[in-house]
Amino acid sequence: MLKPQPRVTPLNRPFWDGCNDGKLMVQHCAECGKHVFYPRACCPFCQADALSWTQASGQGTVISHTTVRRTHHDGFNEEAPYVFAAVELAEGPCLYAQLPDAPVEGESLIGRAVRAVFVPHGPGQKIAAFQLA
Amino acid sequence: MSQMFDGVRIVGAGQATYAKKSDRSLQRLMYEAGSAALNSAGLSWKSVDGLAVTCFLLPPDNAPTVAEHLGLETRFMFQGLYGGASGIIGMAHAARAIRDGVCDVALIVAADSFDVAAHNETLDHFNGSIKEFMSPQGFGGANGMFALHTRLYMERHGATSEDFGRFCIALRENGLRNPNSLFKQPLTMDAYLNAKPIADPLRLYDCVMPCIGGDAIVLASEKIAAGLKGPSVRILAAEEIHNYPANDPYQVPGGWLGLQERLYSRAGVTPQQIDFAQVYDDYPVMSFIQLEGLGFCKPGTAHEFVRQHDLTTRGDFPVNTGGGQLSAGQAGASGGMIGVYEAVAQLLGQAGERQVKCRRGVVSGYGMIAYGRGLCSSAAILERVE
Repeated sequence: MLKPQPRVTPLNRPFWDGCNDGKLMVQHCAECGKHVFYPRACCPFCQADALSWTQASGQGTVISHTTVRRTHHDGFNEEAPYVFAAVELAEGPCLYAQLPDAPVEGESLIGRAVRAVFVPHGPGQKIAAFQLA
Repeated sequence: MSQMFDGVRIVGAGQATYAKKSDRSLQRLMYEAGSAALNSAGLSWKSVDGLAVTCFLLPPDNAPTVAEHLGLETRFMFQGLYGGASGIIGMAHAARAIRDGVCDVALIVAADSFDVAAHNETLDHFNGSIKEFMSPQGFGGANGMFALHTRLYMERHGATSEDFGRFCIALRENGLRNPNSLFKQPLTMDAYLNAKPIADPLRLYDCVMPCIGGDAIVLASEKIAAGLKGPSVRILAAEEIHNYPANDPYQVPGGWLGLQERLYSRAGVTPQQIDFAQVYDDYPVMSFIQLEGLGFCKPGTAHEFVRQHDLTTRGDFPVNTGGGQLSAGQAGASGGMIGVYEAVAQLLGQAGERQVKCRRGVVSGYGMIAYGRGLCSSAAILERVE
């Protein structure tokens, strides 16, 4: 079964196109200098109309993680159990993604360094995931 | 000090019968809960001229069409868009409307008809950030989202699975004294720890059971309340805060620390003068964060609080005296109303076998989960008036 697919919009298209091109794209505020994710209409830190897209390093740190055993959508049943994490990018923003090669049982991964990879998600669409560095 | 709600009383509380399966319509659940609340107040449906409704599954219907369905003429209307924070927020908005003379009798009602599939379906489309940046990534629903918070809380503060278990076991004991609670068996620590893993570190009994039900309270002007029998309840304070702290889902995933000072200073009381707490218990970790944010213990120490205190209706600090959502069941958006119902039922002395000795209680709400946390937090301090 197909997983939930992103609804690509003018606002978020650079991110999803970036996934297909192997680039982790986030927004950057020229006014306050902060990086922003998820895609916004204005900077949520300073409300300036000064966002533009930039390629992030793909480096990050695990904020927290879980092993999903009961999925929220049948499209994930085949790969469960899997590790799902909140990752703090080196640039600052939080991004949610799977850690496909992380152990589903065992020690805490909080604070572990990770790097972005891009994996098939659906017809013509890749999605960001992370590997333990 | 509580001018904000002067001239307003809560006079009744009631519930629809909770069920795992039922073919009752949403409007029927609201009617049952509303009738029970009005009966407890000694008021008729004809007296209702204000209506606050919260229900996830209601669209394309809405508060006005509920009024039409039930045959109510209303001068005040509210529809909760704040998930499980909406019960308290609707109560506060209605109380201000009564204070200002907009209406005289307001019914605050929530209901939903949920099962696991409906819950997941609703959540998957809850809002843009979940739909685009959590669901396609495989977040595991609300369970996955709060598993992240639970693991982080355990690692930061040294809480153990047993601490969350103590909380769930105490609530189950409370729920066993509530005929409208869906779980009918005691919960042991062994059963809690060995339950099916859902999203590590969460196991089955950390997660609420979606169900069918509804909860309601009735507010009236003091003038109308004076003509009714029995005690009534005053709102000493009611606060809401949203997206607090902005841009930071993992410092504290709720806003109670941001409303605590206003809540108690408006109420003119301290946490030590509170006899019970009805907290939003979608997951034990969020209840811990509410006990901290509402001033019953310092941030990061709720796991020690639950070791030191007995949270049952026989205990020194009763919490979720009807069993909460964890033991009664989560009837969708009524999860944000069940604590309000329970607080009022306790203060009116209508809580039957689970009645605690009380004059003053706190109730809190939490809802509208979005990019990693709930955006809306609410709380109220209520006091019995003889």
